[in-house]
Amino acid sequence: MDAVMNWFGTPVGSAVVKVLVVGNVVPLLVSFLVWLERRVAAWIQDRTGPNRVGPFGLLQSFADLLKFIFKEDVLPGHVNKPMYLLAPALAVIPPLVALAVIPFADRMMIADLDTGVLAVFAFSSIGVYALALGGWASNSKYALIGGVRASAQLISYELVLGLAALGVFMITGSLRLHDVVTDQANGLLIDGTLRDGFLPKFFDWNIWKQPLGALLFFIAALAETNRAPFDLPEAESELAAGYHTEYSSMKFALFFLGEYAAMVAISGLFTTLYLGGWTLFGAENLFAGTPALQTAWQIAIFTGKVVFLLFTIIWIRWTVPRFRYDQLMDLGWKRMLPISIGWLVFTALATWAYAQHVR
Amino acid sequence: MDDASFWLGGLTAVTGGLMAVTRRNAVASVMWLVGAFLGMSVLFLGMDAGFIGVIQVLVYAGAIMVLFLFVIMLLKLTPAGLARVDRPKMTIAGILAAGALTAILCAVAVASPAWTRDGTDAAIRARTGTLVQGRTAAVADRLFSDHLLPFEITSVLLLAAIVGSVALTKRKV
Repeated sequence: MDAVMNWFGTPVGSAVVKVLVVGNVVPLLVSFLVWLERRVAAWIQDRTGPNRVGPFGLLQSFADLLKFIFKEDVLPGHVNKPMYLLAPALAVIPPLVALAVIPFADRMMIADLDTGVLAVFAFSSIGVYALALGGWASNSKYALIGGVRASAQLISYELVLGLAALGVFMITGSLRLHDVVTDQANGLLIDGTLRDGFLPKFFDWNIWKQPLGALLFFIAALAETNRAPFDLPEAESELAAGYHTEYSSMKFALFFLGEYAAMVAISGLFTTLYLGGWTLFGAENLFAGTPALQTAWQIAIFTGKVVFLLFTIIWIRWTVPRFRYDQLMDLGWKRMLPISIGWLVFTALATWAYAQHVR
Repeated sequence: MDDASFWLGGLTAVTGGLMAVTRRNAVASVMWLVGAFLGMSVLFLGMDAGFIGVIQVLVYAGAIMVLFLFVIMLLKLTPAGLARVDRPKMTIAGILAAGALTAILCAVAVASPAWTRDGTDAAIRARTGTLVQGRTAAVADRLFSDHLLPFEITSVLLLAAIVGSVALTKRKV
């Protein structure tokens, strides 16, 4: 027994534990998210929503999951079998791997990578294949159009996402996400003295230093996760269901899981980059005496911010109508890209001027 | 570099490359090539060059190959629609060219001083004092000092390409 407990203390052992915890908590969070989506949608549209299974309908998603498992898994005869089977796997794996580098408490992440956010972008860029392949391999009109739309949209907005995030790394001076979080928890340097009260710590969050960058990142994040008003790849009213039209049973559920896991991952990244990650104006050290409680408290802070962002994303979906395709491309290439480059130049100049001022 | 990442990355890269050139289906070729790039990324990571490894995935596997796939999807290439290359002279010339390239690369690799160097972590640390050459800060250090001019020229070239593509698709006003 002692040998087992000691193994958990080793780097490999603790990494295995974290992988198991994150790998299981995220799908659980996804099932909660699906319930939240349906309840918030109902609330916004003045309906009731699912409220029968369990308290407040919380177990609805598990009932749906059971249904998915027991449905017949149809393999249509007209598909390209290897690619058709590869696509759902590629939808789930990248967002879950991307979550590995996001810190959810002090020193609590699966991999503290030197390249940090670049790794998140690299993994999420692999996710495009799921949509493109799913659409192509299904060998059906709706799916193909959905797949083509999805891949064009994702590669367009990936650019803005990366450029918007660059501003944060200019002012932080590190790609490591842990450094990005701690940099936002210092407080502000005013008149040569460090003020670390509640307000200075609040305004140390990157969202105040990078307001336009944060806005661009958030819009691009909506597009990257195929959320309304950027849900053209699956536009129910135009394309049946887009790239996953031909998928049934658990293969469809995997696409579903992948999409919501990507939402969790991108919300986690936004929280880390702009909303101070697991910090809360000094309140994150409330239980400094007991490390276990401290970690749990920080995870709770981080999760709270992520859930707030997820709620905002759902709120936007049920408020704003869908873009037309040419509007989508115009917005991405002719508006958001030039603005993000301009903002980057401004950030560079401001960082330089600040460095001169401090010296 | 440890043996596990060498064999994992190397075998994936070589298998992916071989499958990419032998598949009849263009989409299958693209996906095998993506696999080959992922294998190469593992090789870079094994050499402690994390930045290059991640950029390899981000740029090649994540962006360029998606464009390949995108074009192939729109062309609707079917194996039957592809012209078969069964001229024996072409095949022989191809094998000769590939063999010559492999021979040249092997000759250069064996002739370089790195070939006989001790490549274990301990030896590298003893030689250079650190193991951080591949880290992001180290890459940036070299890129923005010794190689600043080529870097700036490349970035201006890429910016010109972006502006050009926006200008080409812009409606006449």
